[in-house]
Amino acid sequence: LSSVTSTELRAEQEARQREQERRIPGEPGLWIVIIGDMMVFAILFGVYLYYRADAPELFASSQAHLSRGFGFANTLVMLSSSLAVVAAVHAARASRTAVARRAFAVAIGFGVTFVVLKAFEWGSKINADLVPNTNDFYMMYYVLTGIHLGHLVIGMIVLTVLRQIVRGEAESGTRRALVEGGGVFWHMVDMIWLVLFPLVYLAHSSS
Amino acid sequence: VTALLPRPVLVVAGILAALTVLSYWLGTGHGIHDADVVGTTVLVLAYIKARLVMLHFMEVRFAPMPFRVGLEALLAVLLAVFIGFFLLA
Repeated sequence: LSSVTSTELRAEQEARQREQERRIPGEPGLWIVIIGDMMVFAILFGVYLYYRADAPELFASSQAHLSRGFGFANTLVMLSSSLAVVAAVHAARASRTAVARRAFAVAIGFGVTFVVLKAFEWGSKINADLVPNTNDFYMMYYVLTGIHLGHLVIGMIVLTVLRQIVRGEAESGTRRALVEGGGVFWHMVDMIWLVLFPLVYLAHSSS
Repeated sequence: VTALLPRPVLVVAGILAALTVLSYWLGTGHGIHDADVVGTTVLVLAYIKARLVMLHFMEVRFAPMPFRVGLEALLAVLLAVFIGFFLLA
């Protein structure tokens, strides 16, 4: 009986230790910004669905003119950039500065690719006279993709700053929090696109 | 790059890419033809992808349990509301 108890005790101690080792990525305060931003997009997606409920046929026929290929390509670009950021964060933690800087540069490069593809996509819509005041669908399309693009540009600035930080500062708790926090912001931009793309480009009604 | 990334992250990246191809394929009129089913499916796939990004890229799976559970609940509720609104139209 005593051996069972000691095994149980040890298991409990280990579980408690694991729980203590768990920590919030980045800086807890940063998560207020992340969750706040996610809620802003959630409300915007709600507004999109609200307008859609009023005019499902208009939304379906307008959506049919979107360039789904561009959206699909940009999803893969976004995922690749996120993967590069994960690599950068790991390299920075291991004090592999040159590798971390290169990985951040790769992520920024994917960010630029996203912007260029988005510019071509918007250009093709504008050339076809599909502009924000064409109808509610296009208004929501430009607002949602535009605000997302704004976040992506802020994210690229953050990644550029992180490239400098990993070069200029030695590994410390503060540096780790900054690098992880910047990474979390970038992944949030990725996550929002992962919902925006199917919602606006792919999900449509039968009518 | 692969030497830098833990194996689970690489597996997750592969799953994310595969699910992206699957949603695009379904969303462009292949496989399923009922629009409500297609819409619901691509939104469920979006939930799965967003959750994987949150747990593995943002490293929320290493965060304290209450924090993780709270975020997971938020994401699940939001996507459920989106799917509900989508089907109501």
